Amino acid sequence: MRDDQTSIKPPSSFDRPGDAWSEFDGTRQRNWSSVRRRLTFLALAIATLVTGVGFFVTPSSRIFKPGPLSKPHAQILAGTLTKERCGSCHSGGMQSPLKWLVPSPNHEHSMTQTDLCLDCHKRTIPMENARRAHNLSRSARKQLTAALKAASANRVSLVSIPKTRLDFDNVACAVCHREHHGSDASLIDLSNSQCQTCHSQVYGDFANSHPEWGNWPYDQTSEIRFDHSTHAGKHFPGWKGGQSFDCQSCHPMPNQVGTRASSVEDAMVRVAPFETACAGCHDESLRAQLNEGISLISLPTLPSEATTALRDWPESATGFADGRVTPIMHLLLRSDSRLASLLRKIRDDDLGNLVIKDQISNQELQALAKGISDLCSEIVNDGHAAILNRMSQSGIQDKALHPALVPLPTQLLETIKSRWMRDHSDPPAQRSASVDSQDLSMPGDSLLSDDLLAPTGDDLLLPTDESDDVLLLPDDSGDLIQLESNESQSNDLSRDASNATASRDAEKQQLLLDGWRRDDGRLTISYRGTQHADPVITAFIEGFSALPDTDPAKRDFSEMPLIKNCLSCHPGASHSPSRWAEPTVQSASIDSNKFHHRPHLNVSKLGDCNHCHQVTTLNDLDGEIDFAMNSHPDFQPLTKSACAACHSKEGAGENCTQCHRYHMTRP
Amino acid sequence: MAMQPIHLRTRRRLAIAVTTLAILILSYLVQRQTMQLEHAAFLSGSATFVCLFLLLLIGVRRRISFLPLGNMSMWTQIHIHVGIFASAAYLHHVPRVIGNGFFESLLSCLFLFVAGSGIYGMYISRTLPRRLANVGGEYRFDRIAWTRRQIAEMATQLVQVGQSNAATPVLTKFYESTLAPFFQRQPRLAYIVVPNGQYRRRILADLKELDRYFEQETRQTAGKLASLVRKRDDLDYHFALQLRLRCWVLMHSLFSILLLACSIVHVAIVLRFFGN
Repeated sequence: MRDDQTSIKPPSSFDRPGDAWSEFDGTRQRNWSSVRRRLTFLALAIATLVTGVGFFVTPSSRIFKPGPLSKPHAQILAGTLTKERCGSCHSGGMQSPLKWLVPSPNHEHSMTQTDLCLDCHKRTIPMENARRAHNLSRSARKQLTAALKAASANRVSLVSIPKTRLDFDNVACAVCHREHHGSDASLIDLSNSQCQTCHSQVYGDFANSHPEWGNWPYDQTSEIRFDHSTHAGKHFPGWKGGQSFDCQSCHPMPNQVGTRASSVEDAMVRVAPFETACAGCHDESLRAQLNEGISLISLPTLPSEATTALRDWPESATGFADGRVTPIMHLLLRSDSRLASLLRKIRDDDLGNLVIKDQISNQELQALAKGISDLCSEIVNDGHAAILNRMSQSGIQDKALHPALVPLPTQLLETIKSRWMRDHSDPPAQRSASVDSQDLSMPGDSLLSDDLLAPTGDDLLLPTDESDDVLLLPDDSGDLIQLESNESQSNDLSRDASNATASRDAEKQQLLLDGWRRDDGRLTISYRGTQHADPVITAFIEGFSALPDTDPAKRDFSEMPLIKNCLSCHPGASHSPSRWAEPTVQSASIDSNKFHHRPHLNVSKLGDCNHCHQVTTLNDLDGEIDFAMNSHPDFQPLTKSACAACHSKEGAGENCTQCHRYHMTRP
Repeated sequence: MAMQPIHLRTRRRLAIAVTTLAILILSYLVQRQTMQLEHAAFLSGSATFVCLFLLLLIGVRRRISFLPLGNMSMWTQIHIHVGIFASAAYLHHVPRVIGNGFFESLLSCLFLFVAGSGIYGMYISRTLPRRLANVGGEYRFDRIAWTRRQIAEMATQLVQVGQSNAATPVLTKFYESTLAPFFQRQPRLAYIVVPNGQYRRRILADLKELDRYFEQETRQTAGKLASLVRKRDDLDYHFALQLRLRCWVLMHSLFSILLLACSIVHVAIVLRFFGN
């Protein structure tokens, strides 16, 4: 029997699609639409319940999490509560979720995400320019753009990159640094196209499109002036048996000098300390220079006509006008306006230069003598305060000179009057031209008083009663130097001399001669340095750096052989703020360029410094090197091709961020 | 001159071309915005969100069929291609296919489920009607239960009113042991999930086996019962496939609503937490 032979009659009642119920032959049944509606409500209820339970049982830190944080941020925020964690970067994170949909009345005043970024990163990014592109002002950016265009003047770039619509004076951190992309994602990972979307000058591949380096990296200001050519070509071959000119002697790896690894993770030490790199050759000459010392006060010789009014002017400083007003004394005197005009008339501060035609009258010389006498009186009475006060009036800050005066004993100053300027009407006392070493020892200084200056009787320069050395005899004339000591001294000098004693004697002698000293014969208070980076001389140089270069006192000070020698290697020290040494590490350049030596040194041929940094031979140099024009004229220019040999897309990479950093300035 | 309607295949190719072009444009814009250091996620996210609304419009259209808004076939085609575009926009939008947090992973799972059910719907909406047409008969889903009862009553009636002869007890016994349970019960869940003719063939084979004991009249009754067995099985087949289609629509629409609700919350969170 075929299927179509069995037919079923349609139901007698009428039903419509979408009805909730149907009734066929008295039987009522629920339709699909009704079932579906019920199922929908039931499913939505279950879904809501499951979601609610899910929200309840899931740790709050994992409910809303668009993606894992980068490792640095994740580590910092690991111990914080969810609210604080989100609120660290999102101001909305500190609010209740119920308030998210309600606009905040002070929304425009609430902190932006960038504000919250800078709240933590304020130490590394200059706040005033934080939102500006490259942290530079508009004018600075224009200058850089012009320089780039000039460097790329003859290049035609076929690269087309869509331009951004960013406001370059209000660039948010999140424009470049995208979070929630996982712990392994880099926050500074930008493509070359992303870097160049803001730039009017765009480049294609590095080898063919990037401009040449120009003077980089030798255009950077160097704090230490060092002539590589002369040292490599002249000094080293002939020095101590022809030792080779080894770059790493002065530029060692950080681990070789014990520098902290955290600060030099990817850099070389720019310059090794003086003791390591320079002292071997320059220590002796430096000590010879230090022996000259610098004078704080030095009484010039003035005509008797000028000093008659002063009853206490030393006789030894009376005669033909002679002697120099030292630069420091010049500053001390010129705080008095009358003397300032007078000092300007004295050429090179040398009274010996005074001739008849100089319009300096005896009256003015009397004023000079009185000024010097008043200065001495003031120093005797007020000590350091008088010096600092007068220097301050001449333009040098107290704090700059303070380190220089710390080792200057006040006793040394207090005795100026009694030793140099005694009233001639007083009964003549036994005067001795002496260098007062007693005053060198501070009260309670056991090292000097108990040991080194103890009367051992073996000091060549310490006079004794039995001494027959004519050079050490007390002499009222003051022509000879006598070293005085309050301690009794023995005189078994020659008998007990030995090598050890001689060495000890030398140290004592050095101690007596180094430091602040008063020379009653020359009527000076001077300082003799002890070593490289002597704190007193350093302080004076830093103090004078505050003066303009045209200041005659600064000019004279800079021309002093010792100071000139200092500034020949440290030219930056003469300008305020004084810069003495290179940064410990070469972690940053002054512009957007960055370069790390360490990964390059792993390449065998780059391990030789000369591969990239070729020192100019003496023959190539035309005359003397002009450091003022070029920071490092003693090197051959570095070419881009040297870098492009490795830095291609398939090789070491040619990403902009490999060699350039966005944040150009630092606070 | 009346405009010729565009052929279905041409329309389909045109729709695929437009969808592909839209995806390419979106991809280009996302790349461009990324290159321009802008937040391309806003573009891709907005596109996905708008698409979700467009996809829900087909349900609205189904409920307001009295308005001249185009036929359902056109709406279905638009729905499919907007869904494909939304999937592409979603892939552009998310950093990873499954989100990280509870809410984000719920959102992404919902989207993936709805997208996956949409693809499954495309498959069954193209294959099931053909399979139903091959079976024959037209049964409205809401009348299937009534029809099932009718078939059962017809079978009972056939056995009860059959002529009394020597073979009648054999047929009655077979009806009571095998055919009555088949006609009176609901189709099994296994059959609904995977409908097949195995049970039907076994019953018909057993019935055929009894033919040799029947006289002519009983054999006619047995033939009518076999016809009812086939009709009942065809009815169950219709029921299974129609139920599958309806369940799919139910799940697809239900999860679409959940997806839209979660998307609105997601947008609110984004707008609250995004800031420069």
